[in-house]
Amino acid sequence: MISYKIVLVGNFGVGKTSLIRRFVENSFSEEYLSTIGVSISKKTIGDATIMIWDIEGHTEFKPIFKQYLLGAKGFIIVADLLRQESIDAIQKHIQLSHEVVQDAPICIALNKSDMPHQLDDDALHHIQNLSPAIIKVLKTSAKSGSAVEELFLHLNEAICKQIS
Amino acid sequence: MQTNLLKFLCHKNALSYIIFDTNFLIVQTNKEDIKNNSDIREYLWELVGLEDEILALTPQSESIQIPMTLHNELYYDLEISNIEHQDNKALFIITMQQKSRHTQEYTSVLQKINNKTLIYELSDEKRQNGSYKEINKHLITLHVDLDGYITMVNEASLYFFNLDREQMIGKHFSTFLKPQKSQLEHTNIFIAQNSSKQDIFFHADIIPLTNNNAKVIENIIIAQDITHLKKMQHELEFAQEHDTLTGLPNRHHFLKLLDKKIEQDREFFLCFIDIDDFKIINEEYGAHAADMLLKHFSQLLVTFIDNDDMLMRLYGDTFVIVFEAEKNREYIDILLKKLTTLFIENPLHYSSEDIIKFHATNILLSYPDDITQSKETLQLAQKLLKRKKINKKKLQS
Repeated sequence: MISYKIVLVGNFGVGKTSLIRRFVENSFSEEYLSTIGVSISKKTIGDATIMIWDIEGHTEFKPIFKQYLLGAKGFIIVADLLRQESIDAIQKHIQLSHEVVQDAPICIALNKSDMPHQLDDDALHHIQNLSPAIIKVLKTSAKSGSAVEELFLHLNEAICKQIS
Repeated sequence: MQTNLLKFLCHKNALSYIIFDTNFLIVQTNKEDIKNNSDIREYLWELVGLEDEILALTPQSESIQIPMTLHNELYYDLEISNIEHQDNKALFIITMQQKSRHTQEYTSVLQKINNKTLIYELSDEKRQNGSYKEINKHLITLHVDLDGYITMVNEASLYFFNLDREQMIGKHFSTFLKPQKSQLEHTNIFIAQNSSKQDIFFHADIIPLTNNNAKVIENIIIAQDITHLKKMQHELEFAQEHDTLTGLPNRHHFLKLLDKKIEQDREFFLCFIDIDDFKIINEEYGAHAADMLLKHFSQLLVTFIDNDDMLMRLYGDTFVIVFEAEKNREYIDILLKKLTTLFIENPLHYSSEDIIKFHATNILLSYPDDITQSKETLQLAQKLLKRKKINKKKLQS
């Protein structure tokens, strides 16, 4: 049995809490209540217990608190398909994550895929090439559940391989 | 007494503590629901992943802080430190300070602000403001006082001129935007050099700013790049005064030049030149061959005349050479005699089978001997060319 920590990083309002809620409790709420500080959820997959850190998102006035990323074995960087600034910020979040934990595997979740959006394959390709640490880029929907499990399982697989 | 005091202080400050060893087993705590000798990570998930950092702590090193962590809808600040035990075995203490009611209220205010910001971010208003920002990037905006000295500049100006704000403020606006003459009245056309030293044309609107008494206190100059319009204007002007087939200046250009030359009232010479039997060539070889002949003819003449003389196509197969003012009649006569040989030696090789031979007729007119007004010049030239061609045919027959 192994336990490890992962952190969801992204701008505020991109759906980090909703992705965790969908993965851990298989539920979704339309109500938006932004995360302040940090809230930790636990989920067991096979032999692995994952501590999922849901941290306060980056806003124009408040950067992400670096200390929250300490000791993470992997990151999920979340962006909102409907907000280009949140997609543009992915690069900055990758940089921040690797400042704290070098070379940790990263999955990118482009969330709210249930809504009409304009991100094409070229843009997806561009995001994939932002860092060699990116193991998967997925369009997810916490609302419909689309690709949410795949997202966490993919990261879990990569981390378990790294640990063992 | 000491234990009671510690309990009292912890309770008073909503502070919990857990002491644990290097195996992360709990040694002591003031929390009643936590059992001694159990793994602290079962209660505090925050510690998972931080094992190496915690074990590396020394009594002298800075503690590990995890602020604003949420437990049962209450926020806590966690702090992990190394406390040395009496028998030198490392022990660690984690303190959990519950945030005050004030902080809890503050977080709900923050949540409301974030909520409103998110609604705005996804709204049309945000998209619209984004568009305005994009427009502003392309508009140079200068605030100037009543004497034209700059008091404020926008980012677009600084980017365009590649200057700092201090380098622009206090200078007269004409240092950067030079007024240009325009054919239209009431237009403010300016020219400015960008950081790559290219001339860029701007159209500027000047908006007066008034105070409460309707007195103008300042002006705002909003300048929009119109270089592409200027280029289009130049292209249109060029097209208006040039022949599309040969690329030579056309009749419109010739008449303007003629007016100008007559106004200067200095002697000059014009040679009108016409291809003989052009109509027959057109009928025999077709319109394309006729066009090719006109191009060939114009190219021959361009290479034949001096650089400071000008060749223009007036209409059909009629061209004119405007000789530079210093040239006299004797020199021009000698030159024109060479034309016959030029055409004989350079027929048009239209195809491997079709070699089109041609001749031309020319007449020379001078100002002020032959012409005095531009209006009559073309008519006179046509008449004289026609007469000369008839005479030529008579001689040939």
